[in-house]
Amino acid sequence: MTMELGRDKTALVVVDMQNSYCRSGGRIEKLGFPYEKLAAAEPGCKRMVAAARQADVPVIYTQYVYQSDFKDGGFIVNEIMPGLKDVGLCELGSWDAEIIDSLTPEPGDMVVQKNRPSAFYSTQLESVLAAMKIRSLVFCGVTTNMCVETTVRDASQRDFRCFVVSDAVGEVDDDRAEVALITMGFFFGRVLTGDEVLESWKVELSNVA
Amino acid sequence: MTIELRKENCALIVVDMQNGFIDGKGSMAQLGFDWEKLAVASPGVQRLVAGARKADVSVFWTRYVYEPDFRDGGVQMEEIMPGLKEVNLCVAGTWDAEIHPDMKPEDSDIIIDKNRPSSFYATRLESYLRSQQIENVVVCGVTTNICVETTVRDASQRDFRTFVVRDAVGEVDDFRGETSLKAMEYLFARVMNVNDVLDEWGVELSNTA
Repeated sequence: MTMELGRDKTALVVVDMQNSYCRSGGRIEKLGFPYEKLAAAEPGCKRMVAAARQADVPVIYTQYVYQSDFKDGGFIVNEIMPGLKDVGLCELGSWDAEIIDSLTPEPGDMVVQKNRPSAFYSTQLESVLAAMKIRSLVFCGVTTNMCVETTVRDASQRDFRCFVVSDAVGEVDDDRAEVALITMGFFFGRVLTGDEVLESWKVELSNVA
Repeated sequence: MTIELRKENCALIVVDMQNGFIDGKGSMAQLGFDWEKLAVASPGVQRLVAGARKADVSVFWTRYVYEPDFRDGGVQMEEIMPGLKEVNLCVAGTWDAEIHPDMKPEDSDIIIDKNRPSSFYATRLESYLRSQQIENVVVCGVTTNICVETTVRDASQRDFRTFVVRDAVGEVDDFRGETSLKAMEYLFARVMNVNDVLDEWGVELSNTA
């Protein structure tokens, strides 16, 4: 028995496709991570957004944003990865925190700002989804093992039917990327390709690239 | 920079050390999972619990518990892993849901029942921890990649200083088990051995094994 995806009561969630993660000059590159592996999610995300528009599926963006002095950084920023603070990752109002220009949200799209990996923790996301009566979520974006997976774990245990698009996500470490997809498929949702999403939504894209 | 563990304001969280997971007659074994890879957590957990008693660290036990008809199972039971329902995983009031007899919780310990992977979601755990001014949590139990990791992600982003004990956790799949520890260490927790925890709590165990 496979969990089926349709258009009904479904939203697309584009996770953290920001300059910081996906562009040269972004803070993730400054920290020495291969940002190209995150930018690799960009074509897939663009395709998913175009498909969602055509299928009348609402698009929700998440955006990692810290206060400029990191007073909201907490344990993760202060003790686990203080480098994030040193380089000024995703500071409020900075170019680094902006969503990449090829995926700029349109008027009417919801943008959820967060300062933790999960887009559910301390954000408005859950109440908005409830109000919209959304039951299924399609996920793309970065990073597969961190913010995408933490958000999918939270969505799944809140009983959203979760679908993760394997060719529209990105992670800096290959083992963690692989296990993230295995784990999410094992207990938190279903992993499918962009083509499978288009088929389920019954949309055809001419040339979106 | 090491993230130092102290015994002050510290709690030990023992995740899901139940018959269903770590006994050869339990429901995980019935589903064909290698339960012995979960049972390996047992000696380490017992040493941590003994250490916590000596160090006056509060002990919390979580239990995965479902209603007999799984009406609280949600998407994970209905659509992702319906097999769990067929073997009656951890049904309330059954032997399968009981904490394994080797564990020996004491009356003053807190037991948290949950029906989702995270010990934080829809449970009383967070309010207990906050009420006792707990700032540090040491997490052990099963399974590393699912309930332990989901709990650790939640603890960390709620700003509990979070510690995971590599020789007191267990996972049915080695690649998922190892990579899970890598993922937790990357952004959510310090990964330690039982001996490190006992050292930093300043306790010595004579012969508890």
